[in-house]
Amino acid sequence: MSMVMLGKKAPGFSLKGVLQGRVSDYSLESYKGKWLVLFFYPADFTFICPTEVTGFSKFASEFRAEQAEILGVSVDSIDSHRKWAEELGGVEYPLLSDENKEVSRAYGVLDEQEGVCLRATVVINAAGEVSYLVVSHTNVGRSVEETLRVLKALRTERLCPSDWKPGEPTGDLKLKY
Amino acid sequence: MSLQAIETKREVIESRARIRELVFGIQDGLISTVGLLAGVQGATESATVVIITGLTAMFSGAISMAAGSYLSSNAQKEIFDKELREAEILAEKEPYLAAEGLLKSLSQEGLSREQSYGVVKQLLRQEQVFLRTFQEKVFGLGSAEINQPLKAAMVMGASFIAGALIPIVPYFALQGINALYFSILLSALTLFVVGLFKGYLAAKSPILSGIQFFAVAVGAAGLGYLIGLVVQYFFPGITIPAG
Repeated sequence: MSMVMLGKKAPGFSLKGVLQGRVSDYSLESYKGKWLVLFFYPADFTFICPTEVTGFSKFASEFRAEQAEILGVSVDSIDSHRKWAEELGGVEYPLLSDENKEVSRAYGVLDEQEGVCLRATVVINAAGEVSYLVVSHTNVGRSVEETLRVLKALRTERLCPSDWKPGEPTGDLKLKY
Repeated sequence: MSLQAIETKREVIESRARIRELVFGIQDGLISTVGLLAGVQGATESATVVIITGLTAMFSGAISMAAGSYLSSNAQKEIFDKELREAEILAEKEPYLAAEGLLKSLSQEGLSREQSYGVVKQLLRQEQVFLRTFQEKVFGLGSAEINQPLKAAMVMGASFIAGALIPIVPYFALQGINALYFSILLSALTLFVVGLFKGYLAAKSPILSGIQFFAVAVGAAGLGYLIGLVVQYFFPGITIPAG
């Protein structure tokens, strides 16, 4: 279901989120002109892969250097996010609360049986379109560095060969003539 | 309950778990012997024959029941032990999975995720504590349920003997039909008393427990007897011993 979204406008959302103890409203609208990394995860207060949340937090400044913001989303409450962020020693990006599960459903990342999000990362470009989408089964943690690499590659808006790393040439040099 | 009573309560509960073998043994010893003696008594004049038959059946019955109790208890124990070992291996190899399992178990019982997380985090500080809690809560392997096959066998054997002796005893003092009536009466009374005792232990109405116990035991024995009669009716020539 989510695959259909690639290249299309990302579903809009307006959710409450908590950043460093402060609660605010966050909507897709406000990120126009910027890249957005929407990072869905199953639950707060878990022993399985909580390192993802802190992983993205550590790289937050590097994402910002790429004109990109990170938003974490799960179906937990604002209160839960606030306490979880505290438990993790602070999170450098907002954690949004999709309590009625509508946004997760709209992005096709809700595990209907369990009632929680799958581990999904959605990269939305500055024009508000879904550029990249990764979904994995609940127990495999994602690579933050890979997401950053892909973000950088996408931002070149050029053809990038496989395993392209920042600094390497883009485009297929063999097609010169 | 005082704190001391709470601490010793576990042993009390474990010893009371033996009630299963006690009830089973007495009931089986009683019913099978009463039936047997009724049958033998009808076939012979000699009280000695009745007594010897009864005692023989009592010993062989007690041994076979004890063996059965031992084997079944041991089978359960061995399987439990294997599950306990596997739980330990899981907790060692994939501690985060075990932790998440305990977290889920607690939150399903009503604790919030956040509270469950806190509890599990604390438990994780001491490996053995976490492991025991995990085994008991998540896998339901409570140690009070762990069987002691030898003890079970002894209780079963002793209870069977006690249950079997009761209908035999009247034959030492009385003769013929009187002995039979008294044997049956004494057996019925014993069933009622065991039910009473169980009612007391379970904090239920003792009288009702006694009646219920009596009714089930006698009903079952009666049903067995009836089936024997029906078969004999349709297949004359087959004799079914009343045990």
